[in-house]
Formats: sequence, C-alpha cells, structure tokens
Amino acid sequence: MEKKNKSTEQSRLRAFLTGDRFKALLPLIGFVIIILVMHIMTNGKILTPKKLRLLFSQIYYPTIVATGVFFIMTLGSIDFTEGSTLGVASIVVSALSFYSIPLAILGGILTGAAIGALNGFFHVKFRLPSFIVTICTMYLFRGVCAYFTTETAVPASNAIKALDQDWLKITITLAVLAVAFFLFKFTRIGNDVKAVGSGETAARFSGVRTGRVKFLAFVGAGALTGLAAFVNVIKVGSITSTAGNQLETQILISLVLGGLPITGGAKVRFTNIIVGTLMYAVLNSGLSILGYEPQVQQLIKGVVFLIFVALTIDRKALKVIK
Amino acid sequence: MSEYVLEMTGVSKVFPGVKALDNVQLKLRPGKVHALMGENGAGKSTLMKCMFGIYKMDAGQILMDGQPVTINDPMDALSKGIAMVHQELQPIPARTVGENIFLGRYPMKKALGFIPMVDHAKMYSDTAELLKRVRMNFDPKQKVGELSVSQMQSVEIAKAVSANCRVLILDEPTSSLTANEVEALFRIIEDLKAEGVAVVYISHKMDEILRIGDEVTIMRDGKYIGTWEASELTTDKIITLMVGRELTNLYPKRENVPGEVVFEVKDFTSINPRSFRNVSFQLRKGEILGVGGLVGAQRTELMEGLFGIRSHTTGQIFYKGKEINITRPKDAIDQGIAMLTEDRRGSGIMGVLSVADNISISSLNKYLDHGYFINGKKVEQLVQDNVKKMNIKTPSSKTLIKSLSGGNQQKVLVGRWLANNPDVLILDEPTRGIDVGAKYEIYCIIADLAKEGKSIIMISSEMSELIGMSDRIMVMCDGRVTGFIDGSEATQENIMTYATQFE
Repeated sequence: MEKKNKSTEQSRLRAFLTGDRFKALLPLIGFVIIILVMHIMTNGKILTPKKLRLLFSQIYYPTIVATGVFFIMTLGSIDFTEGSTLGVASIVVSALSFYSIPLAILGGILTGAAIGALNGFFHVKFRLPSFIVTICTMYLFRGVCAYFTTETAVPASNAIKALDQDWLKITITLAVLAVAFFLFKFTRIGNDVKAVGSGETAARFSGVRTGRVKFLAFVGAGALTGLAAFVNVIKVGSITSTAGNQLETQILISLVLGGLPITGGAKVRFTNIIVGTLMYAVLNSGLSILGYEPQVQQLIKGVVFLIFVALTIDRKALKVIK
Repeated sequence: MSEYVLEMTGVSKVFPGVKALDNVQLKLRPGKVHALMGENGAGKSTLMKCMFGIYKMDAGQILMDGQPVTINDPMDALSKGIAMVHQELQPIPARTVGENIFLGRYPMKKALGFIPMVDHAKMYSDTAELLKRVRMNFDPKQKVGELSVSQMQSVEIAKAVSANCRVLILDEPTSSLTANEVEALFRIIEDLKAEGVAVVYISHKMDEILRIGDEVTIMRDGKYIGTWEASELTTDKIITLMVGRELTNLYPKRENVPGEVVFEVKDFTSINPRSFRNVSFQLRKGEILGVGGLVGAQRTELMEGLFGIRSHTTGQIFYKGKEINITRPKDAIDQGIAMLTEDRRGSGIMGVLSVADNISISSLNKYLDHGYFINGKKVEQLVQDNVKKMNIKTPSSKTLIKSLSGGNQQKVLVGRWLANNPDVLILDEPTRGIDVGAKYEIYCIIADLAKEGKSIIMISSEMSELIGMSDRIMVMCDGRVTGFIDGSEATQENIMTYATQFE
C-alpha cells in the first residue's frame, strides 16, 4: 500500500515536472536563481541603487520592441528584423529631430510600420515562412542602415537629446506595456492573434481573417520598434552603423528566458515579456560587473539561451513554425 | 506444402475504445486474386496494416507456407515477400524511376576494390528489366515526378516485384486511374498471377471485383463475414453481405417539418478536376439532408467549397432566393451558414485556448463594448447558456478545450456555431470519435435544431446514422451526385448502389 502511494507520488512529481504549470513557473525560478547567483558572485554589488538604475536604463527600448515581437510569436511566427528596423528608424528619427520632435516620433513609428508591412506582405501574400522573410529583410535593412552611416554617424538634434530623462522613458515603456496588455487580453485583435496561434485552420474556418491578422501583427510590431528607436535616439544621441546590432537575438533570448517557447503559439503569457527582459538585464549587467570581456559575455549568454530553449520548447509545435 | 501461401487466423486488434478487428481470418492461395471488401471502417486497412507489420496484432497468428511467422515492421514484411502498394502513392518525385525502385537497397560495387559505391549501371539495367515485366516502356532515368499517376503506380508495383514478392497488396489501386489505365493494371495483375503471386485486391468497385477477383472475403464492423468464390457472387449479394446488419443505434424521434427551399446549389464544380463536379441540390427549411458516399466521394471537399475554403470554377449558390458569393469562410458565416468540420482536432478546436475563447470566436463581434473591448460577462453568459442547454461537462469556462472529452468538445463547437444563429448548418461527420451516449445527445441537438426551422446538411459515413437521421439522403460517388433517396425509403442497399456508381 505504502509502496503504491510512493509510486503514485513519484509519477505525480514527474507529471508536475513535465507539465505546463512547471514550465510556467520555470522563468520565475530562473529569475530568482540568476539574481541570487549574480548577487553572490558580485558580492552584492548588483543590487546597489546606482547599479539598479543603470540596469533599468538598459531595458526600456528592448521591452518596447519585445512587446511587438511577443504578438508575432503568439501567432506562431518569428521576426528577425528588430535590430535593422531599429537602426533604420533611429536614422529617420535623428534626421527629423532637427525639424520637430513629434515629427521625429511619427517618422520613426511610420518607418517601423512600413518595414513591418513589407514583412507581413511577403509572409501572407507569398506564403513564405516569417523566418525566411525576416532573415531576408534583416539583411536588406542592415544594408540600408550601413549605407547612411558609412561616412559618419548620423547625429541627432540637441533638443531630442535633452529628453533623456528616466521618467519619460519609464512612462513610454509602461504605457506600451499597458496598452499591449489590454489589446492582448480584452480586444478582438488580441483574441484573433491567440486564435491564429492556437490553430490557424480552425481560426480561419471560424471566420477569422487570418491573413489580415498576421499582417497587422507585423505592422504593429514594426511600429513599436519605430517607437523604441525614438527612446534609443534620446539615449545614444547619434546613430552609427552598429545601431540595433544583434537586437533580434537579444529580444529572442529575453522572451525565451521569460518562458516563451521558441516555437511561439497561444501558450505564451504576457508576463514572459517583463520577466524575460528583466532577466536579460540582470544577466547582462552581472556579467559586466564581474569584468568578463564582451566576447566571453556573449558566449555565456549563448549557453544560457541554449539551455532555456531546450527546457521551454514546445516539442509538439516544432512542425508549425510559420 | 500448404495450399495457402499466407494465412491470417484469429486476428484481433483493439484501439482505445474500438475493437477494430475481431477474430478475422484471411487465407491467400498462390496465383489467385483475393478481393477484400467491406464498408468504410470495416477493418480492411487495419487488417492489411497488421499483415504488413505497420500495426501489431493483439491476438491471432500469421502462417506462411504453413509455418508461423512474426512480422515486426514493413522491412520485415518485404524480406518475407509481402509487398504493399498504398492507396496514396509515396514516391520521391525529384528522383529517377530506378532510384525510387531501389531506394534504401541500391546495388553496390567496390571502386578500386575497396571504396563502396552505388552501381548505377546495374541499377538502371535491372530497372529496365523490371519495367519490362510490368509492361511499361519508359526510361529508367526519368524523374518520377514527370510520370502520370498510373505510371507511378506501375513503378510501385515494379518495386514490389523487384523484392520477389509472393504476396502483393493493392489498396484501392484504380481510384485515380482512367479506364485504359485500369486495363493496363489488370494485364500486370494477370502476369503476376501467372507467376504464382497471391494478390490482395481492396476495392469498392463491384465490376472490377467480379472481373478480376478469384475469391472474395467480406468484412463488416471489424468482423469476418465469410469467403466466397467470386463466381458465386453478384453485385447485389456482395452489397447485402457488406451492409447486412441490424440498426443498433437508437435515434430520437424527429418532429421537424421541411418547408420552403432556403438554400440551393446549381452546377457547382471544383477547380480540381478530380474533386466535386456538376453538383446541384436544394435544401429546405427545417430539413435534415444526409450526404452519403464512400471515402473519396469528395463530400467534405464539396462542403468546404460551399463554405469558401476551396475554390470552384462554375456554379451558383442561392440563399433565400438570392444568389450569394462566397470566397472565404467569413463570407459564408456572415450569410448565416455554419460548418462543423470533420477533423475536430485539426480544424475545429483551438486546443490551448479556453472553452470561452473557443465558443465565442465566430460571434465575437456580438460581445464587444464600443466595438473593441470584449465584454467578459457576455461571453461568460454565452458559455453558461450553452453548458445548460447542451449539458456540456466542463469544470469552468476557463478550462482548456483540449482537456474535455470528444463529445463535450463537439458540443462546444456546436455552441460556437449556434451563437451566430445560422439558418444553414453543415455538419461533417458530427459524431465521429464520440462515444455512444454523447452520440445520442448530439442526435437530439440536431433533431431539435431542425424542429426550430434550421436547415441541416449532415455528412455521415455511418449508414445507420444516415438512415436514422435524414429526411432525404444525397449520395455521392467520385465527386458526382449519383442519387437522392427519400429518408423513409432509404436502405443500406440502395445507398450503397448509388455510392458505388463509378463512371
């Protein structure tokens, strides 16, 4: 009898460890572990107010970008253009900042939206996997970015640099998160995005205009990256050819650290964005404080990424990356 | 030496909830064509998959030349001389005929005496030899993708012959062949018979069976009915043996009264020449129109065409007297048409979303405040109404739909469509994969809907369900409508007669 209880307990534990609930908890556990490890390794240096402020200053624009990508990944698609979009949009924002700040913001958003529309158009109309389309456009817009920054960096106006204040960046980031959360949870478009991510055929047969939903998600994500470009410009002040370099990988690592399966789909949770970007920032600044070379940092992040992808991946969904 | 090359006796196979095979036997004589017949779901394919090592039998044995053998997998079956040509051919189109035939067992040679290499010269000369045996004269180096369906089939048969097979299984080999190609296939079969190969021939086409078959084994509901000499049988007798069962299911009493015509289809033809063509029918208010036919009759494709999922070339759809144009599912839904799909997992439920999300998806615009924001209370009300009305068993509206039983999932999907208050409901195999108790509940829901004046099109492959539930039955065969039968006059025999009216 006792033996039987023990074996059912064991199988229950196994069911828990392989179940969805544990996978949902994994990022939080990981978050605590990363903070603890960093705290111990840096002898508590990471949790000082000064370091925390620095840490937060790194997460505003990635959070905005990650929010857009989150919607795309909910569809079961993927986007690799964030970095190059941010670069091109930052150039536009900088150039327009000499005329008017609102115009610069609008220009950035429209540039991002246009690139998103291009991605969405090829993905939907030509039925190319988003993976393929966005790798092509990443390459393309990285080229555009390089073209405008070959001679010299593109400077931004002093007026826009004067906006580099924490309260503004916090407000923009929180507003984006709030609006996105609301869209995701309580509106038709959020519902349609989840429906496509859960079963595109079923959604289409139920009357969802799946092509339009996917197109809109790409446009929206692009527009958010364009807005992030504004936040980026006020921080850095001038745009070099490396603007937004490897941002796509950073976003992907962040979201996966936050517990979002790399295959995407409707199993995502909104908290994935916040936990993920915070975890990435802690990892990043911890590794800097410990004095690792950037190359070694990248190596360590790559290892962490690989481990998290393996732990959180939804193997049943492997055949359906769109 | 046994008189049979292969015997299967006492074969049983259980799938969760279904006894697919129950003490079935099959005895094959060398040099004879043995036809295997039965309705959809009678267990023919399951039996063949057991013989070919794709499924493991739960009970029973296989004897070859009187000696018991075990067949673990298809490779094992091939090495014992059993070959199978599947209904859906699976060649590699971009490779040559020779490479397809010798895939995985290329003839090898040693270059410089020690480097193993594929012996292409031998492969292609052997292929030419094999093609001659199946009376085909195309180039062994031709890409398979450039061949016609019948030529591909010959390649598959050549492949089987190359394995020196003694038993050849042909699963519905003529389903996509023209008359001339069928004749060519029959000549190949005659040659194989002369060489002493035992051929298992699965087909629904009576005239073919009576022409080429030597013996006929008939199965029904996973059970063995008997084996006869083909010369003793007639088409009528085969049909009676295939369907001759009591109606075991009970159906609710129907009180619907069909009224005026609400939905009419004229000369509807698919863009795919092998799919539905020249389909015309009318549907009345409050009528249940059953749609019968064999697997491959293109019934689902027709409904998907009407619902805007597949494209059509010609044809008109009239709804309440007006011609309507449907190019995507949303158009059909906006007109008041609903379709419950056959593949519940693939195109019905959205597994990782909740019951509430699943039930509200088609009618979501009704629950929006100010045109944008989903009103959770209204959605909850919808769920609760349906739970009560259809007796859906779910812990809560937030439960993921994939964790419900098949019957409850189906009720949620019915609820999804009813939320739009449609006038025409297309139900494709509405009780597939649902246990008996829940089936009856679904029947009651269908009967109630018809009584309320909804018009229902119900595809079903279960004869008794079709007869028990329909006011009228439309029977399809090979993409065409071959007949209409009034519900009161329908019998399994007359449905089967229409369903096997191949051109």
